[in-house]
Amino acid sequence: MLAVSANVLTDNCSDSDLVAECLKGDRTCFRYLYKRYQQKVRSTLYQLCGPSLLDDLAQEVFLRVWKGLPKLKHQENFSTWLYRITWNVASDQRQAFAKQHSFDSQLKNQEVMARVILKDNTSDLMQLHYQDLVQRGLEQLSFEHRSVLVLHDLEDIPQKEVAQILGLPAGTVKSRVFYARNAVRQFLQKEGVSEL
Amino acid sequence: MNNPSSDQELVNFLKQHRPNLPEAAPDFEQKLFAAIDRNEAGARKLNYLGKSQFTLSSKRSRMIGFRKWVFPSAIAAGLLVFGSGYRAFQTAQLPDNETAKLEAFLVTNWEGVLHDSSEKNMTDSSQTDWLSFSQSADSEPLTNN
Repeated sequence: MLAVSANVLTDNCSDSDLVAECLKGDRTCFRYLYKRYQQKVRSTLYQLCGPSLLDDLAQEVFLRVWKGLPKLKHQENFSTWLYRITWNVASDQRQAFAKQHSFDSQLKNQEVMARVILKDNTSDLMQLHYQDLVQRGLEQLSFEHRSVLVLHDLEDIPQKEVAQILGLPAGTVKSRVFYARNAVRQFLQKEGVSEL
Repeated sequence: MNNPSSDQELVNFLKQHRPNLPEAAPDFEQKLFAAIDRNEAGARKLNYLGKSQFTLSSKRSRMIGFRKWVFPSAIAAGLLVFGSGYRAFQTAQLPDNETAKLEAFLVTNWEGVLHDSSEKNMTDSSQTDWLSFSQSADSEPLTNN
């Protein structure tokens, strides 16, 4: 049996060890899981839903994770499960956006984007231009195609795991990756990116 | 089909130029764990079953309460209805002497009916002539000659 002291938390602890401790009510271990995955969760949410409501969505993900931990059957698959929840939250948000998509949310997105750009003083103009193109390239994809591209190509999750996260056959994921890459490549080339 | 190196170039480009992730609010972590605490407190308040269940949502604990009380009650009510219905269909058990009296009455009554009908047959045989005719006709041996 693993004894994880609240004060001695190391990177050597596996996800399943930490989950086991969380199930005993150890909040410190959950904090450690949060620190381990928060960047990936935020990044995925950001690529799928944009900057608005990012903090709220991230909080929703970790709340669902905390509440759902007792139901997690295979603790060794924690990261897959976490990504699944992240994708579900993003998907719910996309549907909400679709229902009440308004000028306000667009404006909010642009404001947040502008703040991000202004904050990043070190970025040169070309970098900002490319970032804008990548953002627009991802946005022009359907949510299904964007999901596989973000999870597989940007978050480095193997196709097999992406298939588990999205509940799809591996062949479907493969074909969606192929389609999404082609669509983004064509978009970028059309916008003048010649190095692809 | 695209060649793998072309795909890799695209992936590298996307990774290199993906928009910078906005930083989380400084108090994000605090807010998250405060929300978890609130959730826990709410779950404990609603967890009236007295079991030490970990992180129950209020909805879930309500569901468990519902299952705990409704299903046994439904089963008990079903058994009660079945039992009472079964009893209603059961014949009443009479004492032995009452049974004997009832049997005697039925026999007497039945004999009376039979007796009446035989007397009636004797006085009014026209109604049954066709029967005796057919019987006598049947009683004669059939011959092909």
